[in-house]
Amino acid sequence: MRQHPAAATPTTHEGPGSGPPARLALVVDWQRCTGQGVCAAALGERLDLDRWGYPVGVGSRGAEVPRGLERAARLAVASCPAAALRLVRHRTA
Amino acid sequence: MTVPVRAAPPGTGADAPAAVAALPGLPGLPLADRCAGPLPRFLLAPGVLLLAGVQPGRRVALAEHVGRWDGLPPAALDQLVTAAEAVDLVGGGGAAFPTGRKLASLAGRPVSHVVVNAAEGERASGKDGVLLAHVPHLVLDGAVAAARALGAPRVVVRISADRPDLAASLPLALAERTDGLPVVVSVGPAGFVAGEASAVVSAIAGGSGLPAELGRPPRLPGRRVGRRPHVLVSNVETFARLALAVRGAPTRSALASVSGAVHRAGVLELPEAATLADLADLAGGILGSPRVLITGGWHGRWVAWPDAAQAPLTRDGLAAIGGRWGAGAFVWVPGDVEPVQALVAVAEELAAGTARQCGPCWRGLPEVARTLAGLASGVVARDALDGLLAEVDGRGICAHPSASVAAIRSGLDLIGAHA
Repeated sequence: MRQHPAAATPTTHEGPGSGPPARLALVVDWQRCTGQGVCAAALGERLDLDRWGYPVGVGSRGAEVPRGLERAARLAVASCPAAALRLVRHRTA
Repeated sequence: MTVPVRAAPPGTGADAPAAVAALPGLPGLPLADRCAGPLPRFLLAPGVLLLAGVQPGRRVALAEHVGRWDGLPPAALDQLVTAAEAVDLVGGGGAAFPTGRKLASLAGRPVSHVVVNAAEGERASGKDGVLLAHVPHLVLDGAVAAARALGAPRVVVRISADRPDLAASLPLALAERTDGLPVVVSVGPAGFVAGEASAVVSAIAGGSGLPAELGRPPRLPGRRVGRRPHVLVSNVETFARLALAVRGAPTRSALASVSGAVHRAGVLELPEAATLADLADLAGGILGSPRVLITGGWHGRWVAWPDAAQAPLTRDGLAAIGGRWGAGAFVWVPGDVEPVQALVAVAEELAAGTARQCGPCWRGLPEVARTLAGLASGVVARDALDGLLAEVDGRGICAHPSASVAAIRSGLDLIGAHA
């Protein structure tokens, strides 16, 4: 597994005045994703990579971020070298 | 064996060269061409509804069109929606989305364009080009009715760059009309995913011409999402049938493109009660002994032939035998082509059809094709291919990878059943 330097140094924080944490979902922009695999290094509990290094289980509608993994999810977003990840409020189907 | 000669391309006049069709099964052609060629671009016989009384190769002028169908009646959006829903009109591009629901979803919204989608990127389909070449006014009536009902200021007919015959004939039809709103022809890129609705809108807006996210209704780009106008994109056939629905006329028939191991590849219109065997008969009959019929084109489903011969030419009839209507494209795989080799050829074309936007698609589909070739030569196990297909299925932003996987699985299932 390739390690991105940022993956080892969690520096992101919850936003100020966010109140009770909203359910978040991780969304990948497939037109940007280059399959570096950094997101899986940051969020290994939630993300697997396919054989080409692209994240699995993150469709265009987003993968729900389990409680307790919000910080790791923000780290994954911040450390993506292709800026292909973003967090959105989870839409319950 | 005789070499079938195609009719002159419609709308191009007598000076157009009559193309001599390549025979399916002719050595030296790429395998996909042997399976699908010659391309079904020509009307083989007068139809039963949309193409009733239409002579192959001859465009119906406006006066003749009005004489047959009367003028286009005015219709508000709710009337148009009711007319479409009353006849269960669904999109003819392959996805079969209910047209009434699509129209109703745009009520009260700004619609900047009504787009007649004639991109027809599916190589096994030729019906949209045939409709535009022969009965352009029926298609344009449907688009103009939709534009008026939606308050859209213009209509765009989006044709593919590989159809210069339509680029030449459509302006002649447009010059006959007085619709009170601009109707323009837009030539966009050819290619498999180029006909996807959001790709069409992107090309019209001067963008990439690549598909956007699955399930998002197309809108023009703009800085503020709330102000981006909507675009109605529907298939050529859908608009032709909408033009009949708004007149209260019958709307149902089976418009099919036939190619592969038939004597004459082309487009035919039959009653829905007709069968696949009737379709093959009207195409001059089957050549040789094909064992596989691909229904619904390259994104379609593979069924055994002649087992499927008595299936009726309807969506339900096809679904009942494990087939798929799709855009009504039917390809008989020549009997001398091993089905698995045909599947490899189709997989290679699907891989070549990727928009190269999403990694799992542009890396996955070529690997699927290579793995399938390995399976065909006995060096790869089926399990490995199945695992690979599962990794491509449902990935990316448009429907191409998932639809390709479904088609390949269908071919594998059929070949496995007969191996």
